Amino acid sequence: MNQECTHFKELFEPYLMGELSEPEKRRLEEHLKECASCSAEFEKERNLVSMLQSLEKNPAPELLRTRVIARLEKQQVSKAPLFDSVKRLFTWSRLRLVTGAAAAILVMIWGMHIFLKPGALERTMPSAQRMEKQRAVPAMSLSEDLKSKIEITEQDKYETKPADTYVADEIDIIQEVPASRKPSPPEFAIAGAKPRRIEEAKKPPPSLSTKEALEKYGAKDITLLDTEEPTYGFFISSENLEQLRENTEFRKIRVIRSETTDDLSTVDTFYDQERTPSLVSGVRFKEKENVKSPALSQELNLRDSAPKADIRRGSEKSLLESRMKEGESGEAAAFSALPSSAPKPSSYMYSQTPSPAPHVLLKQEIREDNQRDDFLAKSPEKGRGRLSFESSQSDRIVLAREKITSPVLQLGDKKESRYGLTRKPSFIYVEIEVEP
Amino acid sequence: MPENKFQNSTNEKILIERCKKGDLDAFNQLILKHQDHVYNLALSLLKNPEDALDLAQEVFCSFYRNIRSFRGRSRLSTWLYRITINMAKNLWKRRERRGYSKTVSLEEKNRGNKNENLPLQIADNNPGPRKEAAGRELMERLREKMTELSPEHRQILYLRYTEHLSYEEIATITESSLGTVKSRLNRARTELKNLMEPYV
Repeated sequence: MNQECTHFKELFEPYLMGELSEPEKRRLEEHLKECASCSAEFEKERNLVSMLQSLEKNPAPELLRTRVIARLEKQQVSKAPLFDSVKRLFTWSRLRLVTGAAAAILVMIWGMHIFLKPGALERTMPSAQRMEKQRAVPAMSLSEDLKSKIEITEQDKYETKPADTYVADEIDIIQEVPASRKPSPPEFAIAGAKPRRIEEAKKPPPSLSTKEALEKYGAKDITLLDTEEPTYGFFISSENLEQLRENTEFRKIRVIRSETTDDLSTVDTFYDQERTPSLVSGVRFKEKENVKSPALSQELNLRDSAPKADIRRGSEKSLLESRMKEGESGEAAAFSALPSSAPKPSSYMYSQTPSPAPHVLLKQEIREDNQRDDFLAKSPEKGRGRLSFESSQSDRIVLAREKITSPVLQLGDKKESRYGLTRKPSFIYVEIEVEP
Repeated sequence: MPENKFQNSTNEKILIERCKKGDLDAFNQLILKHQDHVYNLALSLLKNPEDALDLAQEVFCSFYRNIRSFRGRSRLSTWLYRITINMAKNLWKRRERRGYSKTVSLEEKNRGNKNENLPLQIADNNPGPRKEAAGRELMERLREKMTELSPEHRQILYLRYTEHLSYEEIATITESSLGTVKSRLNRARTELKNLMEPYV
């Protein structure tokens, strides 16, 4: 079949539909006389189009019109004129406008509250000045009355409940920690990285009362990470974390990061939340693929020789980006971007025992059906997992391992729980910032 | 004066204006004029006559509710086709969430039921003997084979060969490019040709 034939074949259908110009028609007819192959093909096309055109329409059932009119009549009768005009005021587009405006006003009020409250300006001071001031400020403590109410047994602290006892929570999709894996103190992801523990001689000691208060909630391995904005890192069970959040004494606690101490099955990064259990960006990272990953091994090796870097907050993004640029796999790059207080690398090792691959959902992406196409476009290879990250602002980064499988793409339902994604973590590492 | 293919007739414009003022008699006339088109498009998309009836009903109700936003820039039929396709897409999405395939009608899904042994085919309420190029049997075979096509392919074949719409009009209705329309139409025809191999 030559190129000419291909061209003429494209004209078969417009010819049969009477859409060709006279010269084109003549040229096609001449070609058909000369080319037996095209002529045979044309006959088939003609038969098919002829059949399709002779398909008769089915008359619409009379029921259709009567049903529609009856329904509309009923609606018109029940709709009072006043109600109609009021309803028009609340059309979806108007409602969206009003809601948007209300949200903007709330944000403005909140912003004013934040920036105009006492101490806000101090935070903009140089650190030396601020530390000087902090020494004069009494540390935050729990009221004695409240302390007496909190009784947490040793068992409560470490007990890991069976999977089915966890409350399904659409937002929290962190995997539970197996009972066998007790949390370990936070260590540094990059070997040789500068410890984040401050030197006691230079910085004031942590507030004893805050530590005690945290211990009451079963917090373990409490470490003062930063004194400039008093920040504590500790392990705590999810239940106790909820209680901690509910405690009015801890109103100003800001959960900086929360992650399980599992073997990197879950890394859950959420910044800038004030007493909000859900993610800011709505995306979480979950990974547990029991396949030995060469890329990961490579990364673990790389980590030993990695330069010292403070990879907290905003710098995480740049680190991740720079690693990706260096040509590492997304997987390795994402691991490298783990916060410096993440569990030690050895706990990241994969088991070689094959097990069903997990599924990962991007919460943000599955909420909207129209984002599904983007989601698919980004992951053309169905069924293959890959890592990506999203960041909404410079100091926020969210990692996500996407496991693209068909069930994941059946969006909208709350069936995600069967992948174990809606469980709360049993024991998580938390950093809090206690604002003085 | 003959009716412009791309414009609504004067009569239709008057009816639309009356509908905007809540005149149900005018709307009744508009339904009469367009119900076959909407119903048949719905049927090509959903295969099942009951589903098609429900969808067509929703389309007309939605059309009536939103008639104020119809400015007459496009043909009313184009607008109605668009509503029909969008509503069918929404229906597929809902069904997919419930575990139904969009290419399988509810009827087909229920086929396993003891009392539900309905044939899966595009229902023809008034088939009658066809004395055109093909006989009745051939037409039935064609209808049967068409049910094996994807809804997108059935829809485009319907718009092109039953409604005799141009590529441009189909592109407008399906909100896709001209190239997409042409290639989809080609694929649909090729697939159907293969299915109808012994008959064409």
